[in-house]
Amino acid sequence: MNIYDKKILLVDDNRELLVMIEDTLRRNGYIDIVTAENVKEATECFEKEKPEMAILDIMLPDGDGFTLFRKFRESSNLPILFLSAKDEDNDRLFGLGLGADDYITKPFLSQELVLRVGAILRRTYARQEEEKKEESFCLGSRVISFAEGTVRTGGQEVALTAKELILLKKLYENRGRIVTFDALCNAAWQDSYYGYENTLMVHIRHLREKIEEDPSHPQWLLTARGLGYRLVKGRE
Amino acid sequence: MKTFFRGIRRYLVSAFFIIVLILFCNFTVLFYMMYSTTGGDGSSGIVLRETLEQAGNEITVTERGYEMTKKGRKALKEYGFVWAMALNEEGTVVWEWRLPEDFSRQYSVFDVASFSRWYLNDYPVRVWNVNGLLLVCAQSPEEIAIMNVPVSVQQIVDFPRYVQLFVIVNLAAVLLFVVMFGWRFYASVKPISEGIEGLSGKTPVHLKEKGSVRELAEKLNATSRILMEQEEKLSRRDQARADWIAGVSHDIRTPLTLIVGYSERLMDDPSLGEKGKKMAETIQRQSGLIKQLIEDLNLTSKLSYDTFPLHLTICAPAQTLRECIADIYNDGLQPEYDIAVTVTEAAEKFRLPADEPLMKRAIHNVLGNSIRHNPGGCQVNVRLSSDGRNLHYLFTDSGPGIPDEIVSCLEAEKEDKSQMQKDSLRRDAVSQPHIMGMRLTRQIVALHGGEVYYYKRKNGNYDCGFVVPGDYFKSDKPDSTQKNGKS
Repeated sequence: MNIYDKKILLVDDNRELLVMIEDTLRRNGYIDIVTAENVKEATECFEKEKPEMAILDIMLPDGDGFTLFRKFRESSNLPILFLSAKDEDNDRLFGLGLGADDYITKPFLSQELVLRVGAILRRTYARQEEEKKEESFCLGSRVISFAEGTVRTGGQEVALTAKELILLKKLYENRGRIVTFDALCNAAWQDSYYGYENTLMVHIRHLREKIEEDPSHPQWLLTARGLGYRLVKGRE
Repeated sequence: MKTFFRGIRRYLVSAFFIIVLILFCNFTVLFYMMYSTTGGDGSSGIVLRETLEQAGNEITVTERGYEMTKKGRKALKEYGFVWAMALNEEGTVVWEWRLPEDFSRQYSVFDVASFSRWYLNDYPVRVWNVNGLLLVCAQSPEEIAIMNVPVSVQQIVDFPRYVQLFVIVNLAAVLLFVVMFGWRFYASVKPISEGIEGLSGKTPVHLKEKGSVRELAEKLNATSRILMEQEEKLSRRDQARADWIAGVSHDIRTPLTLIVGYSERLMDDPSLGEKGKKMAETIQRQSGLIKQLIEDLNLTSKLSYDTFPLHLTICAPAQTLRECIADIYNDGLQPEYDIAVTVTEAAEKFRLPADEPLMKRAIHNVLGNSIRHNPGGCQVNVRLSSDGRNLHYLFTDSGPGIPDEIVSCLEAEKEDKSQMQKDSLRRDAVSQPHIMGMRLTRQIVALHGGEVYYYKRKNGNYDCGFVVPGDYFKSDKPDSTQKNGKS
């Protein structure tokens, strides 16, 4: 299932912003986008077009995004992202508490919006396919299989321990970003970093021995001094 | 009730001291009186006896009969006797001195018995038996009165007990009155004290305007009304300001989204030349600053006007710090910058009741300043340590440091007690985003009970750090080396 085919309803009272967001989404491959500038238009559009995702502004001239959200959810379970200039914690919590899939505060980077829309659509419509896809990945000449818990290179296969697998998965989910010691320890032991410093270091060393050509000079699993580790992105 | 007992205790102590003081004064005065009267008025038994003895011994038998020497007469005169006579065993006056003419010169046993401890013709007299004669000396009835009080032996024996009883009854009476008056005083003052306490806690006060403290209650009620009105006005004004800032920041956000979005588009536009792309980059960078400024402005106004609710959780500050720095890296920190973090073991164990996003904001602001003000890149060092009671954050960088004027401005703002000056400084400082960021940091740190410090460098500029109190976490975890086998 292609997420780019999904129909997205965009609601904002600022026409220029609507044009910009629509244009941004189209440039990033989304082809089916409908827009509305107020609650009335949005309701009509929702009934007529049956969108598969909605991006809603909160403050609208004839009502608010929260009411619109409730109305949509009465008849559909479509994913909804709030896009608002209101940065109050209460608004954000209220929106997410209603069951919204995400909440972005203006101003935002277009790319961030595109990524979040993609993530929501994938999560809702293409999760299983994506998961299958994500069951294995390559690091240079090595193929890591999460399903089997192995690292394959050439004809050889090395098994990953349960903790190594958890750590690698966590790093893979945040590939290209620093994952702090604390986040890794929390994923592996559901505990804080203090007391696990050496344990974590040992596991990372074992992991490097399995995924790196030269574990003493790692190319994939890098150390962010004093912070955590980072799995290098985009060189597989 | 605690206040009451404290008040009563004070009363009792002061009453005790007052009683002791009064007793001391009484005895002093009594002794003084006794001492001062021994010489002149003849009330002292010892001097009287000595005078009579001396005068009696000065009576001698001469050819002309009984006579008293000048010395004897002088003694009588000095003591204050107005007349004197000596009787023989038959009651006949054998010697006299200034004895009025109308007085009898012969006295019977009955006469002697009746005046010996009393009056003779209205003259208070003293009698002394010396050398076989009865010396009778009279004092002036205007100066001396004689009281003959018979006292039983039992009464004399019981006298010390009477004194004790007297003191005890007095003390009990004093205590009773102290407690009674103390209670009454407490009861009358209690509502006033509660009212003042209420006022200090900004609680409206409505006291009953009656009794001895009616006037005070009226004034307190009036003060409460004035304070509440002022409080409401201030609160309305603060809310209006906070709302205004929130409104402005809201209204700026949508146009800013368009600026950010289109500048992003321009940066990716292949038809745009290098110069154009640079311009688009600048627009985007500056838009980012405006965004930061709006967020800081909004937050600082909420913190200033107490309209920001703190969401405190027990967090690990070392983890928060690492997450904050990792976020900066993950948001695309340029390679010219390096943030080195050092966390001591004690700081790793530290737990802080904190609003974590706010603390991240405080740290982010300081690190953001180091990055923003060193466009050519720099090395930033962050050290997190603990003395067991407090957590110490220290931020240093290889750049020039925080300028003296910025620190002076922030310090002046901190020390400033005058609201008007504060407002004026606030207006000035708002125009400088880096000041606002630091002020926000200070506000956040202060909300967590801590304080921001500036450490002077050799070049005259400053590094920054803050100290936040918290709890030292006693770990019951096994030593980390033991867990190496755990997987």
